[in-house]
Amino acid sequence: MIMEIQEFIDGVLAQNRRIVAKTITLIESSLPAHQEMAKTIVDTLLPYAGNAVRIGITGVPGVGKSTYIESFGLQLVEQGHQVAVLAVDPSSSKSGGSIMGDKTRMERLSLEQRAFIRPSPSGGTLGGVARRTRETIVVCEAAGFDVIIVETVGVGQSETTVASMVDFFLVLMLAGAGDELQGIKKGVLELADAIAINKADGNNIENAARAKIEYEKALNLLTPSSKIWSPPVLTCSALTMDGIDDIWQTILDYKEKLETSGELMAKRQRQALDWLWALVEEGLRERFYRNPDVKKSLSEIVKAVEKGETAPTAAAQRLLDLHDV
Amino acid sequence: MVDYGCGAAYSSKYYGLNINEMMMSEIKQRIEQFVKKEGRRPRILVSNMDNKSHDHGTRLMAAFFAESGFDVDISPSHQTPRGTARMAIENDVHVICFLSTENRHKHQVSDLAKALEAEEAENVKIVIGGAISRSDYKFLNDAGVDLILGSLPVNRTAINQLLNLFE
Repeated sequence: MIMEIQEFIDGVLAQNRRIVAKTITLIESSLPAHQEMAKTIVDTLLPYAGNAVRIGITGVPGVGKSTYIESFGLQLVEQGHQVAVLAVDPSSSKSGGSIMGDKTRMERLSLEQRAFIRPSPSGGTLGGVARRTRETIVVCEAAGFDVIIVETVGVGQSETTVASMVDFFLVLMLAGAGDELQGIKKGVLELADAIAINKADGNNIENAARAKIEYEKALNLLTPSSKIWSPPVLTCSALTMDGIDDIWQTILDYKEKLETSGELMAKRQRQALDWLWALVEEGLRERFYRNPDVKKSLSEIVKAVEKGETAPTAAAQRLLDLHDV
Repeated sequence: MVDYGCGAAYSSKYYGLNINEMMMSEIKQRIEQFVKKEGRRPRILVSNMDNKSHDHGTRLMAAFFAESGFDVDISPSHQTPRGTARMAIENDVHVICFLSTENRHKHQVSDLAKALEAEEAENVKIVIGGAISRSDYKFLNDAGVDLILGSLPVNRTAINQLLNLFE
């Protein structure tokens, strides 16, 4: 079944769930022909996008991201919002396949009429994820979703990437036994617009309160990235719903403050430039690998480096020179 | 091992699936061809429309598919046919696969096929596994099932039939 570009555009604007899903597939496709189509579609939809609150959510595995998003999303839906959740799941580097089980923990949200949850396999390349997720955000906004949640696994570089495409970056944490700050990368704290300590329920309430103080101290040592916003530390429970609304109010407060001061506009402009450069870099990489001269000599040069006959620096220079001419 | 997203890691190797290394590499090859042609991996929704949590067989299937190179979505347990159809559409999968453990598959298949049709997604294929009596086959095929896998473990023919669905 071949669909025309106009069908995609009309379908997205008409908020047709199936066509929104198909458009995302097109964006994620590795075929150049699909990417061409996707570019045109996203470009046409761009004027209809930009009106949503974009929220990035991260946290280490086990922190309860999916369950948090289930509770948070349900609450937003009840308030009349249209919520799109985009989740990136790591693909196995061995088989290339992936298991996307997020929705097993979003049982109720996944059935809500006003929600749309789309897990995507990372496909092995982080750069690719960034481009695709940005374009997918545009599609979801054009389809009328006014809250976009981008969920990322709390490992490695993905946080920086996601933080560079959202308005508000929420870091979920767990209360431990006093060693909260161990093992937390400073880099992640620097990205946070708020920290929420999840699972603050039952016997864990006191621990969470203590952890809150620890994190507040830690945040105080950092220079906030905004002049008018210092990231708060909150506690919540996706189970009892305690504190979930406070987080939404915090996000709204943030949005209002930064909108008034013009910082939000500046942030989005900066992100548009990030997007631009990410695309340029991705394009350069693709062109490099598609270059016939590079293709011809690549395996030979790689072997030479493996065997120790050529230094990596010299080999890299040779490859880059090949691409130049 | 495959991390499932539902708390446990499973590997199909431990479940005595009737698949050897040679078959596995055959499957992987076919999948890589598919990726080259379609621009993405074959995507399959492993669902469960019975009144219980994901059973052993469902987990096994999901792990096996992921290890052979599929992108696998897992639905929440005890999903309704409508919920399954919706998830299949939203995640844009090629195939829905589920096991019948409570002998309600006739209803499940009819409702699922109707739900898909209502959303203009009748091109999503339906695969069903489990202990299904031969006498139900005709009904199921007429109702919209594209492949009946029968009981696990699956054999070579069944896997190839499954892969044929993606072509």
